[in-house]
Amino acid sequence: MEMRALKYISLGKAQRFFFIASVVLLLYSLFGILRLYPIFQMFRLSFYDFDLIGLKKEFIGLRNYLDLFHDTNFHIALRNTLLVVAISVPVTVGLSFVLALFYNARLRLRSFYQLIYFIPAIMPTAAVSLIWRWMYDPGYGLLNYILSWFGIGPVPWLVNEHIALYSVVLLWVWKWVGYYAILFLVGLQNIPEMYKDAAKVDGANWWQLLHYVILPLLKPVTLFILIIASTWAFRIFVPVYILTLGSQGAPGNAVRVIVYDMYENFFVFFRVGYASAEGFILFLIVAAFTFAQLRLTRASEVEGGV
Amino acid sequence: MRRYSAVLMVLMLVLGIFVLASAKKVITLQSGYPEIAEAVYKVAAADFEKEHPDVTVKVVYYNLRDHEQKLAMEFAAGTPPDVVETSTYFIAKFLAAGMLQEAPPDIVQYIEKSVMPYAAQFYKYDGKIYGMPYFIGIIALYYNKDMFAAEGLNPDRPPRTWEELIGFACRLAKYENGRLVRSGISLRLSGGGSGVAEKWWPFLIQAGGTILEKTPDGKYHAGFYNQAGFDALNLYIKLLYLYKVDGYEIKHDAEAFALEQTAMFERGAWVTGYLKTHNPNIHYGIALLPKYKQRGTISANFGFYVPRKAENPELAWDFIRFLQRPKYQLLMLEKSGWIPVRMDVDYSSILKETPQLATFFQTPKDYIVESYTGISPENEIMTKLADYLVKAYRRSDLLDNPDGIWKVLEEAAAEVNGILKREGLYGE
Repeated sequence: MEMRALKYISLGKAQRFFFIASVVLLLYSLFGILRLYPIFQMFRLSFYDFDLIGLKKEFIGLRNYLDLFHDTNFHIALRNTLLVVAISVPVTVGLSFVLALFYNARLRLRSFYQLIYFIPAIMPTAAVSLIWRWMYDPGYGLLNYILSWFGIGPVPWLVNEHIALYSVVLLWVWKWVGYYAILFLVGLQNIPEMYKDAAKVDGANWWQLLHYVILPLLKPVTLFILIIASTWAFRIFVPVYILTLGSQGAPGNAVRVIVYDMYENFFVFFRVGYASAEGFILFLIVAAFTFAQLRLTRASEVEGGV
Repeated sequence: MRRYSAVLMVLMLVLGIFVLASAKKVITLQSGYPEIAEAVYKVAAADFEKEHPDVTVKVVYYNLRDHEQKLAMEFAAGTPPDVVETSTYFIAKFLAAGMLQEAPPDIVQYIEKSVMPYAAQFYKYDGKIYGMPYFIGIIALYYNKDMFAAEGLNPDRPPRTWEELIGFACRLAKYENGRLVRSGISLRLSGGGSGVAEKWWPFLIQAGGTILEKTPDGKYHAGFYNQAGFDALNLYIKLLYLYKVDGYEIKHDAEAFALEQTAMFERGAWVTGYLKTHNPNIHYGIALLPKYKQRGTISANFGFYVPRKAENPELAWDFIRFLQRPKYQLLMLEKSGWIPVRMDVDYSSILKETPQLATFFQTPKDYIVESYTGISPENEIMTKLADYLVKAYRRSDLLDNPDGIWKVLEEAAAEVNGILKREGLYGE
């Protein structure tokens, strides 16, 4: 009887092992095919002078990378992308945190506000961009209409090269602030009340409660938000694409970001190898950025002991 | 039991063969011009299906940028549509890659007999004809007759020279509280892509230049780093910052014209179709572009191509033949405003209804009409040149600054020549 039971258990284990192994293998295979293989291909193609329709495919070593160093458009795209990340990430994360504190307070119509702020996040970016294109319209746009109440003349939101990029950033912040606020709210609601109560008993004011209790406990959520916010900001494309369409669109170079430049090289100029080199540089930047964020947070965790 | 199974299997096989045999053949036409796809191709597709009950014609269309992007991917993946509608300059690369079918002999004969020779020349490659010319876009000057009359200008006498163009634009520009509320002429100043360079090109031609100059060895170099380029760029700078007849705070292009926020602008015939739907009451005229050192404009040529990897090439050519019927040529001119290239159709009924269109059918002999060269990096060249122009137009410091203008042209020409050298297409 005992022997039969053991045999049954060991057979079960083998089945479980087989099941787990096949599932893990499937997942890793999918990950490999869908994620790693394209990255590998992008890296490989970046060493070729490769035309999309196959007119030429010549191995040129590092020439694409060397050309990128001298490519003004790439420099503009890199600078603009870094600017988008540097402005949009802190602003979006900061605003969303404030919004989350507001959601967390027991106010009337809280759910309604949550829904309102969350809607842009679930709307397709193309639709959001088209709405903002109308809002930025020099003649009939909502923003210029509001400004006219204060006697301010029409602002060329998109066609002025000094403003255009900030117009893109404004759209991006508006789109994502509600989403990150919900993530922060989840983090806030997971903080046990007893910590806050204990701090209050110790005489902590609101600011001290925020600084010493809430923010340290929100660190994992904040890190997650920072990583996805910066990764998405690095990959910004659709708003730039839509806002540059047509004669009323933004000047290409004023809002040129890396993915837009890649798109242009790949789909418009058919320079697949060159676009791949750009893509690989973007991949390295985002990976380095994410790694740095993780390291910084870990270091502060060790320092702060949280 | 086994016998029943065998009978069932045979029945299923017969049914399968029957279903396969009776399935309709499908051909797909992909277009980048929604206004033509809706007004012409869909109507033609329905008519074709009535005459060929065993065929389904799918008409799909996207905005031009998306259309070209999709085509590139479809060709690269080996799954192009059966009928491709596109411009001769976009298709050039695919033609060079041997991805398109030669036109059948009857279509070649038809082109020689019935299509405008000017349009037909863009379909020749290595002495053979590929595709079928279908419509053409020629840039002309649109002007608002009511505004002309209100400002004491003769509404039937559009500007004929640059001098007149500047003078008329100054009279027609309107300010309120020091702010421009109506442009005298709406220039293409902004936007991504190659559009800005394309709209500057006619002025460059009028000044005696061109974007890409062909060299004796059959190659090219930038044709605007010269006095013509200087004059054409200087004209824009003066219109913007000296005469202040256009600005960045107001609407531009066809939309501005339909909203009567500009008195003049340059565009193709399709605007007539746009105006029918967006402002049918506007009182306007269309004229040839004004002269500086010479008269001239640009054209873009569009037609149908059948890819080598089309699923149903025979049917694709049949549908292209079907589209040549006068009904669809008339529909296109009437509904979309694009100019059909078939000469032996009587368009008088449409010209009676929209007399302005006659301008596009009457180009004088001394009127230069340039078009894209069809070289593979042309789109990149135009887009990069547009970037320089967009930046230059923003610079008020270029006014009375010849050195600044020359520098812009020098840098832009260096970039263009650099692209040509990279592709082995540069000639001295």
